[in-house]
Amino acid sequence: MAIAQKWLAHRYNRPRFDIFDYNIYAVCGDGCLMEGISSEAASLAGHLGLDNLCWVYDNNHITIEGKTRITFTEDVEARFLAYGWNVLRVGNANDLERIEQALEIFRKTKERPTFIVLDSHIGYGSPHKQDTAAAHGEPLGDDEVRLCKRAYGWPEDKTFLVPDGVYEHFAAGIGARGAEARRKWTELFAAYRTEYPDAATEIELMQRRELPSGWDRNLPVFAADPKGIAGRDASGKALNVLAQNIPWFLGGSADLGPSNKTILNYEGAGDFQADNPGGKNLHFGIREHAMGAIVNGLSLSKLRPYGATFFIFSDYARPTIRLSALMELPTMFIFTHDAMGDGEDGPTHQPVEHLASLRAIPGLVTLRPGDANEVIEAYRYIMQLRHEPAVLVLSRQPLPTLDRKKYAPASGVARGAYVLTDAPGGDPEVVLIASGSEVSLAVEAHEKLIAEGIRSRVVSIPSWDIFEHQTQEYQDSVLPPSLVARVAVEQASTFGWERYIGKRGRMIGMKTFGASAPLKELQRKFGFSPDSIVTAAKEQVAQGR
Amino acid sequence: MTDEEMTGLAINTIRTLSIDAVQQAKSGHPGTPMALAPLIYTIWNRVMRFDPEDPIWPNRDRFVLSNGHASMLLWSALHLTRTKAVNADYERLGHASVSLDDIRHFRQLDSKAPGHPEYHWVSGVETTTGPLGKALRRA
Ligand SMILES: Cc1ncc(C[n+]2csc(CCOP(=O)(O)OP(=O)(O)O)c2C)c(N)n1
Repeated sequence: MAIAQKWLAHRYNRPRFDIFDYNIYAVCGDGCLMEGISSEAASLAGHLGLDNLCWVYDNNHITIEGKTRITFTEDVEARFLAYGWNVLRVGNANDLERIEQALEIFRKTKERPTFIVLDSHIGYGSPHKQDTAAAHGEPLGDDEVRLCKRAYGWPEDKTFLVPDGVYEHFAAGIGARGAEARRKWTELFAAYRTEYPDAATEIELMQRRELPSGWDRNLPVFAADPKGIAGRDASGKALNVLAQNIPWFLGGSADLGPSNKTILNYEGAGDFQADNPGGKNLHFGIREHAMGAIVNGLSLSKLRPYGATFFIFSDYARPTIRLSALMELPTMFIFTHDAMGDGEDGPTHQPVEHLASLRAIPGLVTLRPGDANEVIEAYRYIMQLRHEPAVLVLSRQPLPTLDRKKYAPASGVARGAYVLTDAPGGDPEVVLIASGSEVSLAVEAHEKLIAEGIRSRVVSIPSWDIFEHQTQEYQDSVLPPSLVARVAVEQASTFGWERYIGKRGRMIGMKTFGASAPLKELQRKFGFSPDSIVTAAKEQVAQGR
Repeated sequence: MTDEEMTGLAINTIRTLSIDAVQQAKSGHPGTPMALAPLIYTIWNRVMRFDPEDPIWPNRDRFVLSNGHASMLLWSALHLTRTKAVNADYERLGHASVSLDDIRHFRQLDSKAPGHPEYHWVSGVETTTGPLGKALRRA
């Protein structure tokens, strides 16, 4: 949110028109600061000098297992000073004047985020539970509730009491101040719209999560090419087109931009830095968890963000992807080196269970396109989402660009799975189902099967999630229930594929970790080749006869 | 009543609503709201530029409760400021984001006062929190 404010201010503010000048207040506890992500986040916020950001740390020395003495004895203030923050301390959580003063100092501080340590007493006012872990996560109990209320000078037997005047008190405070601020802003924005109509239109579109007209113009179409192009390279071309068409589309990688091909390299794209807050290339550093959270924060601020890393490291960002889905945000994560393409790097760099684990996140759209044109269609689909996040899983190595005159158009991506090709001469006897780098293997296998007189069908399935949202009729037309001879191929865990291959089908996938070797050898070892698909298909057909 | 007394009353309303809601739900986190009520009061009522009539006004200050377990702080603030609801199409609905009845049904099915702050569910929540720390970066 803080990065978003800086970016929005840079792009849209004009002399006399401070359209975006808001601040962000976050309250955190010991737990938040023990979690590693707070370190990633604070480090980057300090580096970027986000002076619109204020964290208030509830320093109560208590977590669930007891006093922080048993777990958390670092010098938190020194840590934040080292990150380059402005560090303040308020020694008494009940001292409103001092809290207000600290917040005032925050608003006056430039070029540094502010960290306020607030010494507090958990369970304040509870005679038996104050300053104990017992006050953290359980009801106080009827007797203790009464004693607390007594301590506050509250009617002991009243519950859910909002005394006369309290609503009015808030109405006179935040209500009046907020209304006035919004009224002034609305006037300002009306004048802004007259002077800068295009910028005003952008802001309005963005606020509704809509896209500017012509957002998809110049998206490339790739000609058939047996050598082809890597998923990540096709993606890089798409990103550079989209970022020019959609001013508020921006993002970056966790230090893998050159490998992920996520760098926006057109004239004027720029790098986001403290002294260049209009840059569209975000450099998250090697901080995947914070990257995911920042992407979410940008999206909460109505920008259109993406984050990227190797697919194997999606694990580091996974909790934030889950939150994207839970919050129904249209974020995008681009994960390259999606299978064993990183061959020699070995099993530490070869994802296996990652697709299954992302497919299991409700509401998340996971896409693994099979060639360059499917990559483009995946982008076309993702960009039109308004309330769902998407993950794009891309190959490192070139994939043949399929001849779309011969095979079905790549626009089938929008339905999740589609029939790429059928054998001539009647209903198919066996269906080959594949995603990503395995689609072209399946197509090769298909051609061999036809040559041997076996009627096979190839289904490209870039996205389970999208496919499952199609009508039953459509799903059955792609995978007819009567067609039980099925072979699925995917360089990933076999987990979950039963749903498409059924009890009788065959899955060529990963049941173990990968290994360190050149890709070709790995493909042979693990059976990702047209020949093993052909063999499996023949077995399937034979079983059915 | 002096302004100071009124302030004290407002802060203790946050505290007691939190306590009562947890007691009623037989689960939840009372201690941190009791401690941080004055902080929330100060940020919301004295500092933040936020219009309860329009919680999605683009230039509002943002408030993030990273320690989402202390959600009653947020439900109290949204309720007492009478923040209004909006829907997923960003239309203003006119009714309360969090009603007193929602707070009475803290942590119950369909209440607009769930266990932790939920962005897609309650207007005025800037981000979902609960997994500790993560919201700090979203902030
Ligand atoms: C990532 C994560 N791990 C664990 C938890 C479970 N949890 C909730 S609150 C809490 C203790 C937090 O302590 P602190 O931040 O000091 O809060 P306080 O006790 O002051 O309310 C824990 C471990 C969680 N919500 N998120």
